Amino acid sequence: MNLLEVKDLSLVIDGKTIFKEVNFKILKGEIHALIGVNGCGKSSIASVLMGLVSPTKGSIFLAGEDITNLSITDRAKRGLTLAWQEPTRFEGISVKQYLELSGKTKDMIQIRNALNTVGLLPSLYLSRKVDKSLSGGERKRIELASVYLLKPKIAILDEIDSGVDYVAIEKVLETIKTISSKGSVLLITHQDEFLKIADVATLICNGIVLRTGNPNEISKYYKYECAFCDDEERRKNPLEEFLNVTG
Amino acid sequence: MSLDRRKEFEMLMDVLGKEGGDSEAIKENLGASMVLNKDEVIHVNSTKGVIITSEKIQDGIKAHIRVVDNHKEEKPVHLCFGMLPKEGRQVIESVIIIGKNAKVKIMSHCIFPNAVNIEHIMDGKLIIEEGGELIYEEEHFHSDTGKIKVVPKFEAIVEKKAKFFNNFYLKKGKVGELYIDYHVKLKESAVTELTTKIYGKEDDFIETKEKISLEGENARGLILGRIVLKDRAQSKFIGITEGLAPNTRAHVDCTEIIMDQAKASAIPEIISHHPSSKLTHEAAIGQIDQKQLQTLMAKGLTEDQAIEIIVNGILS
Ligand SMILES: Nc1ncnc2c1ncn2[C@@H]1O[C@H](COP(=O)(O)OP(=O)(O)OP(=O)(O)O)[C@@H](O)[C@H]1O
Ligand SMILES: [Mg+2]
Repeated sequence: MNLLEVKDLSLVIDGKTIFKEVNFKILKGEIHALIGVNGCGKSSIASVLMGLVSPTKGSIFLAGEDITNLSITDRAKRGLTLAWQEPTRFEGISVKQYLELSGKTKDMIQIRNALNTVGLLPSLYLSRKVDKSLSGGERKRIELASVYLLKPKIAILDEIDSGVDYVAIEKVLETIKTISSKGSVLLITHQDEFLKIADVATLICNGIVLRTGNPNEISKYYKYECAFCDDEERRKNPLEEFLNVTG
Repeated sequence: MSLDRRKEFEMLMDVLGKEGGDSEAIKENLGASMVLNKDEVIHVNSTKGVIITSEKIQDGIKAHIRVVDNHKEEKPVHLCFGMLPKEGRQVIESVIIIGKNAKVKIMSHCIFPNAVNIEHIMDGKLIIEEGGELIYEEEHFHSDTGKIKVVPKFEAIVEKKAKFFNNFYLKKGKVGELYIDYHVKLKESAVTELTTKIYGKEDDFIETKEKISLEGENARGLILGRIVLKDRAQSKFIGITEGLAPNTRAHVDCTEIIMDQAKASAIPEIISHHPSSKLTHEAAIGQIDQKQLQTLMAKGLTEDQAIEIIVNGILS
């Protein structure tokens, strides 16, 4: 069953096309990677899916229901959530409070378990504040713990891997797999390790979906392919073109 | 204690306890304390190291609190300035002297549960002698209606290597009119932090003027203001730092969040008389951060729930 379906989604801001006629589907339990070079429109797609920005055109369906015009809260109540590429900071709110409100639970066993799952020691982090004092990688992992506790139907994880050190990467990968065992994940990433756990990948280039398919296949050529994403002819044989250019 | 006074005492302790204050500590004389209803002292307890006395003045009292040299008071000193009547004026002049190397925490609770038209004036002189440390925490509990005018004012002298931390909180009930006027003079290597957290609603008016004079070498000061305003509330924040000696440092950090038709201003004043004095300030006035709101809403919270959590965090 399609848990999420994106139909002809377009976004234009101040006359500039950010992305155009984007189509893809996410199946139940699927880890669906969204990849592409910097500035190709991945985070913008995530924003529109979560309802932070209204699309110029197109529709979004969650479990068959059209959610295109729903508020952020109503989307979240139906099981959609987003972990931002740059998670924001909150003055005066402890990790414990933050996880309680995100997981709708005050059960300390579950909260501790969520922190352990992302590789953060509860004894060190529960009383820390979710403010500027956390490092980038710590903040990301707390956001992931929060998503884990939410038990979402669809989690959009925007570069949850960036800033996370190589020791913690395993924990983060495991957490994503666990989240996907109960729901689906839209995984925005630049890292091959993360692509490996994906079932499907959609390649975005200049705001356009180039293709959806096997993540290994797509990752192999995407760096070359994206170099010519605005030129359909040259894109047909990306590697050759790339070698010609770099010569 | 007369029957009336006992009743007043019980009533004030009841309100304090309900608001989360440590009324047991006062009732059981677990530390030094003083309780005032309007212009009358209805309870006082000194300890070996903390001596509290008072005398009557027009519309109020003059209180003397002295912590003896080298004394470290383990338990907080509780001062409860209550006003059970609906109307009236309460004047508290205080002289607080913290002896050399002494250490104490004073918790001052200002309780006006039945306020209809009340004026509360505090005028303090604080001296923290060499190496001493004072944490002074003032929390106000006002009724949700009524006209209250609060005028907390003090001048503090913080001697060599002494420390003074002042926290003023007014988060519950209606502020009314509030005029804070603090001036702290820091001597050599003295430290101060002035924290003010206020939630203004309806037609509340808040003016806070806090000044730190860095008079001695290596003195350090911080003014931290967090003011949240909704409805038609207004606030004016004035933070003044004055560098008068070498290697001194002060920072003003003021955030004002405005909602509805509220208005806020922040006026930092930096006066440097010394090139090696480093004075900085940051002031931010604006709506609740959109991204913070969206982050919480993406977890299923409504906008109002999200606002409450963000505001509570800022004022915590
Ligand atoms: N509000 C906006 N106004 C104008 N341009 C915008 C706006 N938001 C995004 N853009 C532009 O849209 C393009 C896509 O940005 P987006 O953040 O979606 O890229 P991305 O694929 O997530 O990149 P990265 O890998 O660097 O995170 C960029 O060129 C960006 O500058
Ligand atoms: Mg991005």
